[in-house]
Amino acid sequence: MKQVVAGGLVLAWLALAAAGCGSVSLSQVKQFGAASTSLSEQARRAFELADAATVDRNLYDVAGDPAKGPTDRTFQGLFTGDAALPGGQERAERLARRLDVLDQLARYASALQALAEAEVAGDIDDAARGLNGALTGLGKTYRTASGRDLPLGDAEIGAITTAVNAIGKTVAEARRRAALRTVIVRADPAVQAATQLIAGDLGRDSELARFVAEAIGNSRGSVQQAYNLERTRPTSTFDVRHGMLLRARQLYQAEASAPAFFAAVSDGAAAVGRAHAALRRAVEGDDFSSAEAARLIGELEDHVASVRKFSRSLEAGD
Amino acid sequence: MATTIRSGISDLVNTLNKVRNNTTVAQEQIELQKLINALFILWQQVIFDQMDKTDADYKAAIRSLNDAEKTARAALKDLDQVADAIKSATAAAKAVDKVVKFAVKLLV
Repeated sequence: MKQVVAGGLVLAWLALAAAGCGSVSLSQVKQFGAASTSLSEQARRAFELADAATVDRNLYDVAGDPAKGPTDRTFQGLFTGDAALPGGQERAERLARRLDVLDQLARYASALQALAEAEVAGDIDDAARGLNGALTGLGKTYRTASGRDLPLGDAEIGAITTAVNAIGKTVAEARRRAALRTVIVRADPAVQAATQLIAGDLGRDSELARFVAEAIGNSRGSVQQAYNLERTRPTSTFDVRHGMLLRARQLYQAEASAPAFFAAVSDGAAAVGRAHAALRRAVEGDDFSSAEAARLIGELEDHVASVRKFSRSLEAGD
Repeated sequence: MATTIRSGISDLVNTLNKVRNNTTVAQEQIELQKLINALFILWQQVIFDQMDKTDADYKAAIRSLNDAEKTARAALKDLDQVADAIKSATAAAKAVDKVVKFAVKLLV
């Protein structure tokens, strides 16, 4: 019996030694996964907002002028495209691929978190499938969205799959850390490229940010136009006019919030890239609890909170 | 001063929106909206496009957009000049359409 216990202790000591640090925590990887997933969802909302603001603008335009009626074009968003126009559909699809890049980034971050939290073989299998799907998808969608190849080829994805499979049926911490190290290091160039694409597309002064702010401002103009038509009617009432003014005010507030929301999402995407790069440096040094990574992940979490705040302020204009 | 068609459209739409949102004459707002609609359609088409900046029509469109934006700013200060802003913006939209060849049917 004593021999069995002693043997177990030796094995445990060997496992901890192989991990590089006896008190290593995976909390940073988990924190990164949770914050990045949340931020990707908000960035997706920014793209969807551009689409919705286009359709809303059309609806307000038609509703604001009694001489107009709706047509198919009334319900087409920025991503829907106009197939009747040369190249319209291709442009819309290229733009929509940005959403797919975000989805893949979110799936990658979730799978990374799942890998850090996995307790049984089934969890590992799920995380492995998530990683493989996210990274394979990211390569395809990034190419469609940007016209450039992602620095993530079959060799990188193969190495990641092998490392994750090597964790085994019983989750051994040393092998888990080795797998996380491989995943983070191999995927980092792809994460950097994808986050730069998103950060560039969604800045405060980006085309999409300006487009959304102007679309919301134009919607407000249609409400005010409808108000000016309404106020001259003999049957016009205070309550109807007041209701229209309240709607115009909601749009006015949303218009003012839009640039800040886009800036927060863009800054957040850049923070995801910085935090992932810090994680890479940390795991390369076998330091799963580095101070730099902690600081940058903390900043990332601040960005997530900031984006959520601006997102809520925009809901008034929905 | 805008140096690309994208930023020129964006600046002009921004100023025309301000003019429309600050006049209280419904008919003027309706006239302005016809142009803003055409500019939005053009904007949606060029939002991620790379165009040949050395093309003569491209340069003419930039000049026209900048002129229209200047006229729209004057109208924002003096709302009696809304008609001038509409005329100038119509010319700019036609100049842009000559480059992107998309929305000419929307301007007639």
